[in-house]
Amino acid sequence: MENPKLMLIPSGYRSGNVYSILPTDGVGDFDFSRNAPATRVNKDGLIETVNNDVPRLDWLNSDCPSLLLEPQRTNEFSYSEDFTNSYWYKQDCSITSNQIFSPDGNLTADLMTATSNNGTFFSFNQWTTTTKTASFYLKKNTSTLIRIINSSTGENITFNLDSGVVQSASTGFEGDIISLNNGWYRVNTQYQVSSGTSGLGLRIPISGESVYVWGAQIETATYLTSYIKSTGVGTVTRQKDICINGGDADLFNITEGTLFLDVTPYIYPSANTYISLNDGGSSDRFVFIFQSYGTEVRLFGVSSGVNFLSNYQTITFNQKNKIAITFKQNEFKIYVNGLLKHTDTSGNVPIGLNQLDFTEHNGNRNFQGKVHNARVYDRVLTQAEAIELTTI
Amino acid sequence: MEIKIGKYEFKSEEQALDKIQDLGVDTDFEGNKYPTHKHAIVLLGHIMLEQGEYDENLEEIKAPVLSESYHVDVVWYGLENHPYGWKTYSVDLESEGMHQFAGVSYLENKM
Repeated sequence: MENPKLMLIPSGYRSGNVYSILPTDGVGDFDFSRNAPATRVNKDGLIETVNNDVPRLDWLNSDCPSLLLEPQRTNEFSYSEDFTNSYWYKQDCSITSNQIFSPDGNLTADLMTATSNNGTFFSFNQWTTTTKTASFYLKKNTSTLIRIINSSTGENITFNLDSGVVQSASTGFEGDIISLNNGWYRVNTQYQVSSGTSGLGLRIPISGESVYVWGAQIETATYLTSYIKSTGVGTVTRQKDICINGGDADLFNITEGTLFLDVTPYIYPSANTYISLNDGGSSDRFVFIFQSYGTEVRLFGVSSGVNFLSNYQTITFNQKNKIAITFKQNEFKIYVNGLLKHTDTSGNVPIGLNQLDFTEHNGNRNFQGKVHNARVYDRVLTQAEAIELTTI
Repeated sequence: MEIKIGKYEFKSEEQALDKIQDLGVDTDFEGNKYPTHKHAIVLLGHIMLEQGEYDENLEEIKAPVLSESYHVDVVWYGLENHPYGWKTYSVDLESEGMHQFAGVSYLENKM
């Protein structure tokens, strides 16, 4: 298979840029910005803070990094790494600070010990009628089970730190447990109360047992994002990632081609999110629109202001998806995860394309998720090639 | 791009959302509204001024005290002054306050 005109496999970067693999002269490099530091999982499996405008190549549970593109989020907990602070209300539990190395490699993980059955620490008024995602980094000491609870009702989600599974969940709790290095897990849950507010607690069921804990986070959102450190009183906001402007008019001066994406889109209920190959405006473009309801991507095409393609494809969000569109005059084919899903036999190819954006053409509606691979070819891949390329 | 941080206390959530809408909203070809500005806005809402008090069974003895005003923090990009209609509701703190933008000091970048 011939090389693509542009190929982004997240591997090289500097502050303000994500390097494309092809072309090699830098024309395909992307502009990147984020007006705040943020965290990633580095190659060694440690959580690392990177500076403003530094792209995050994230190695979480993968041998290959992916480009992490996240929305603005706020950690609404104070003292996210200091559970000895009085901000955290303790009931039948004790906290011993800085006992082992935490997931960021520093000696900052606390030991939580139940002094009676159901030993718990709380932050009050955290659960509200809006869905929130709460998370903690946990490592077993002697307690296999750990619960995130609604302190008003005792309803909870229980995680098993031996087997790394969600053991059980009360109605309304959904959650996940993510395995990290050295026995650490990041447990997380989505939950809301039907009225008022309620406290959020971390609970050890059996007296005398203990777990290591670090990195508490609660976000008003339906999915988990990277860790946001909160060192003092008050909440902390990480700003969004923006990755745009890969390629130029010469590179994309093509009359036929293939646009391929290997991405993990997150469900963003607030709005649709976009990836677009465009002319800097809305007159000529291919757009992948990841729908806010989280089950479909819409592939949309405009040439000289005329809409020629609009097709919805079912995909699984929060997982890798490989999607390609091949295009030439009066022939457009859409491939999703190894299958030819749609053929359209009328329409002109967009002209004047000059940038690949992980946003809409105007920099809005940022794609949110992980980018594993993105390519633009200047020829129509054969059906066999496209199927091979998009097979998971 | 130069940044400034503003902290605001509006009379209500509705007023805050109206002010944010005035910063620019457009509608795309699918009929969805989206902001046309690049500023980073965090709706803090009615922030807690005093913690509640609870007994050993976690029953509330005294409810937490929430602010009457509706709080919003903003990182402004490329603006030297508050947008029209915002200055009236700005507050000037001598600390970082109850909310921070990661890595960006309010005191060093105060609007």
